[in-house]
Amino acid sequence: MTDPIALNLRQKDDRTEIEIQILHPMEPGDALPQKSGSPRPASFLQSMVIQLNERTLVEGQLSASLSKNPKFSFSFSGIKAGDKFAVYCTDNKGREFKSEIVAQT
Amino acid sequence: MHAQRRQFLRVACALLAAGCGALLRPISAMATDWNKKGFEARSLADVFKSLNAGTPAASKSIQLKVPEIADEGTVVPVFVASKIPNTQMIAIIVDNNVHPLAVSFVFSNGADPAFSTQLKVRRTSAIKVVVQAGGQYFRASKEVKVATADMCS
Repeated sequence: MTDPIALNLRQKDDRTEIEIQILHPMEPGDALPQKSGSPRPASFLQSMVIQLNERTLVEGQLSASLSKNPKFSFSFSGIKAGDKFAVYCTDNKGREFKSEIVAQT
Repeated sequence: MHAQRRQFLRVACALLAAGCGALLRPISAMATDWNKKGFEARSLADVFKSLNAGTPAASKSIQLKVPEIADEGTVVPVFVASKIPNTQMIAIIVDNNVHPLAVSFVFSNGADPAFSTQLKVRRTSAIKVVVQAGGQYFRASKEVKVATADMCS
């Protein structure tokens, strides 16, 4: 299965923007008992870490109040060609996801 | 005796990890740091308490962009940028969601204290931003009118 994190880098003025999209249901789970069928289990991303050349720049705590297949963007200055971004995520089930992208410019 | 050995191993592993330039804490440990109390809180008072935010001061230096009217309550775009010096943490709270605390980010090592993402907004609600900068807390707020009916969140 291909990694569910898609990364994109963009130049905006003097900043480099990273766009992150993660395939994930972000399902809060049923809070109330259901009339029929089994209750939907909760399945959502809980944490995200963005590293630049292995130094942590952003740590996020996420919840099911974010949209399904959530998108994020962040910006950084002073990014050079060859700089490597790594994005790590975990969800409430303990699953881990990771993706990396190297700056071209 | 065992406690000392365990402590030594803990320190040794941390140093080893630091030397390797790997994540200092495994990503799974970050999951245990998850602010469960805050994310499961139902009242704004409990959310603010979980953030240690006290009573944040209103600030004009927080840029908050949300649509005035959202056609689709499940995908409401939000952009936040803090111009307050030494901004370290930004959290988003959706007042009328069942669980108002939506997301929080901590910024370090030169990352711009700003981000955009998409929220689920259950019904017309104030979107609040709480910023922690230099140990103090600040806030900004904007309302989003939601066109669609109640969403679960």
